[in-house]
Amino acid sequence: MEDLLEIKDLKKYFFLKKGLFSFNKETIKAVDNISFSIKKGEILGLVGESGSGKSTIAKLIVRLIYPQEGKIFFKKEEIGKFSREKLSKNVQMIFQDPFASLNPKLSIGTIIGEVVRVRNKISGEICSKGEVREEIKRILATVGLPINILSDYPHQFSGGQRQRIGIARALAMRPRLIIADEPVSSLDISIQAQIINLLLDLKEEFNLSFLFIAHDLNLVKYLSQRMLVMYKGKIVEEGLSEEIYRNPQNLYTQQLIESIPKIKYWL
Amino acid sequence: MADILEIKHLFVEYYKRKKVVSALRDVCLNLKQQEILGVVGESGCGKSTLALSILKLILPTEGKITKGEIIFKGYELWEEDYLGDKNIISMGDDSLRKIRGGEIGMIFQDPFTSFNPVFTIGEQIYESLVLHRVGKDLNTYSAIHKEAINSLKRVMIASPQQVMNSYPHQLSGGMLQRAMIAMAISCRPKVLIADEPTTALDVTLQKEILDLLKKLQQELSMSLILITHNLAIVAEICTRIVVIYAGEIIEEAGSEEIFCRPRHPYTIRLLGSLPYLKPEGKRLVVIPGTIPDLIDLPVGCKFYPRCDEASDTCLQKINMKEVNKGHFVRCCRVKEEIDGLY
Amino acid sequence: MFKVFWERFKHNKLALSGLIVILVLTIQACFAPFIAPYNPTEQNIANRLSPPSGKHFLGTDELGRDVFSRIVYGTRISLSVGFVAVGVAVLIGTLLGLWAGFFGGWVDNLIMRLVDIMLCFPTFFLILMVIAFLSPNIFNIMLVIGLTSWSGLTRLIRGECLSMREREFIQAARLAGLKNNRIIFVHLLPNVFTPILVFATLGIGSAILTESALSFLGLGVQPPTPSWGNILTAGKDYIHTAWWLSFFPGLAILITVLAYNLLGEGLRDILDPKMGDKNG
Repeated sequence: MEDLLEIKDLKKYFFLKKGLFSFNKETIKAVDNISFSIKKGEILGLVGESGSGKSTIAKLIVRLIYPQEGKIFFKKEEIGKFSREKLSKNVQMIFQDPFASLNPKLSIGTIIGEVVRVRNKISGEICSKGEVREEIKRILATVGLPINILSDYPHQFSGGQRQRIGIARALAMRPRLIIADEPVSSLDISIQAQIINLLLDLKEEFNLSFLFIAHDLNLVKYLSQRMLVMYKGKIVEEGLSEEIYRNPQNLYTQQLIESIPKIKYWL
Repeated sequence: MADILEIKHLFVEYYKRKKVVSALRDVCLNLKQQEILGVVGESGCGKSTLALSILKLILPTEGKITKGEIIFKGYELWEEDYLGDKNIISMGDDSLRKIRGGEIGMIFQDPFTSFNPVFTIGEQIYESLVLHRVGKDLNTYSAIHKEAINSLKRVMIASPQQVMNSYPHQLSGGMLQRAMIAMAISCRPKVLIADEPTTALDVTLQKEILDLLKKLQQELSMSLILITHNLAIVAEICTRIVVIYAGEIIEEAGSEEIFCRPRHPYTIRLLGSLPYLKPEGKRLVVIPGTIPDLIDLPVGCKFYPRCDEASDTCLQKINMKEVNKGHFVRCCRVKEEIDGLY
Repeated sequence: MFKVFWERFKHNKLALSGLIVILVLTIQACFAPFIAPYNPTEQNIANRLSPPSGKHFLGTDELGRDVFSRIVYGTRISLSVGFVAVGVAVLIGTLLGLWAGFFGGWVDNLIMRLVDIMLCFPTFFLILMVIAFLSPNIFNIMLVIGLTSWSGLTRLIRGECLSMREREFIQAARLAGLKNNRIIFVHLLPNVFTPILVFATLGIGSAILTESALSFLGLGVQPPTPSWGNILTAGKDYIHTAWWLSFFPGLAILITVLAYNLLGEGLRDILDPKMGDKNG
């Protein structure tokens, strides 16, 4: 299958000043020479513990931060040359914390509406206010939210509903690729399943591709056919999820799989 | 084994902008000596409130225990002629101080905020040792120091002296959580309450901390209450499990019984929503809707609005029913067969 | 959200009394011609320096003008100086603070050094100097007070924005392809509204104080236009014989500034505990 996103030799180092007056800097290799690709219509899993650099990769792809070295290609075009609008048209992100990812002072209609307007501007469509409202309602219905919440504010919703709003905002751009950075790890278990199923439905309906970042190996294995294991800024293992789970090659991956709590009664 | 802690008909309320939040209702629970009891529930179900109530740590400005008893039977078991108050809820401040940390220890979710940043780990461990053990069995400085070192060694810290001299920010999350466990066990509590002890940690550390807790529980013959939202963690080490939903215990049974023969519709679906051992392409079981508002609870069964087997009988008051030996369920339809969902 | 705010506000007695005083003063300023019993500039030498009585219940000054009427008209000056000066300060302070906090880097550096410079100056003497060069009329005073009192707000807002910039909803706004201006004014600004409101309320009080001090020194509003400061100045020569001349304008300044400070502190208490954040 065709590559949608291709990452080549990506490097991102952070420098920390050690003391107040010292000139020695500590280098943190957050992302150290990483290459991988996401195919069209696949969910690629990315696992690793906190501080392994997985969120840095997400931020590099959407250009919230810039790499020191390496290139990212989207459909063979270099992302570095994209305008902010062109990038957002193609790649969107779902965030971890549904409480921090929605502006508390803006209504749901504004949050999603402004994205719809940016999309219309890019595609050159001219939409009336009513048409934008209709579009917002359509998107809300797609993610399983009631359509009469346009003038409500984020604090009126529960964590799961907020995460749906976050997903609606990402979908409003009709992107090709969605980066999901731990989208369910701050939700309750019964809500997690709702969101996971929603993501799977959306993937089929819109033929989306996902980079699914998580620390929960079980979840990644359930969702994705292919996965990457990251450790200290490097990809230590890459392959089919099923295979990695059954027969991990790398020492760290082995340790990771060993330490997943298992329900022994179900084995 | 005999019971060490018994909770009888506990009701807890919080007050939020003049509204009553009913956090726990009619909670009855007993903790046996040397058992590991898992308390499972989603956020806001009242599991942390339960932990705080046991030590009477609910702030009077925020809420209170309105009814019920929490009987600590530890004294009776060790001193037969003990005549003092056994009900933690009616205890005075002096007796409470002995219970808190001394008889019942507690470990919190976030090790970074649970230590005071301006004192070394050693100083903080000394403090609790001085409070609970000086005058009993430790009377010299060197004895206290030795005990602190011993506690740190027990939690598998390789260089205890170095950790003693460190400030909290100098240690990693895993190390700090170990130090907190060391502090909790240094006073030899008979009951240890662990509130989400591994949630803030990485998967690889989670396993280590769980194994450590289990090892300590056996070595020191403590009873352990493990409070968590993570079913897999509970399955790993607990012998008995209590499931809480919207402030009520809805199912209570042995660990294997819960995982293999769950009876309450909520438990059944909760287990079905875990992404374990799922054949490819099959969707997870979903519980529709969200947790009910604790200010405005549904009548009768609290799970009724989200349950697809619900009928009119669910609207009455529902009591716990024993469906198997030691397996209690709060569901009026439990006699009818409702399995095969996962 | 407003209902919750009002609910809390009602229980804060000090802030409530501050608000009531401010409302009374505002009405007084708006309807000065109807409230004042005499024309504030009308002289009546025969009746000079008469003590408070039924006819002139705050007494008269050295030219026989009614002190009460002068104070009522003075409210107009004081309040308008307060509002306009703070308006100018809020405009500059907010804008620079938002820019510094949002863009960071050299923009931030430049603006913050400017703030440092402003904070180094002894502000009052700067105002004195500027007024001495320009003609001391009310518009210059408003402008100069405003132009010298924005630096605190800039610092405050920059700090808020710096922490907000890392919040996920700002990142999400960038990813939505929004223009920087929209992110700054639609996404950041409403979130720093609380510190602005508190700063403005407290700032009005101190602007009124500054104006009074300037007028007292003769560099503010020029007689015969009555302002609390210049009534006070006129009274200082007669402080042993006609105490009411300096006492009542002084009291007016005290009450007004106190009212604004109480309201400001109250707003800070009410709005600070992260209102409408997680639980609405």
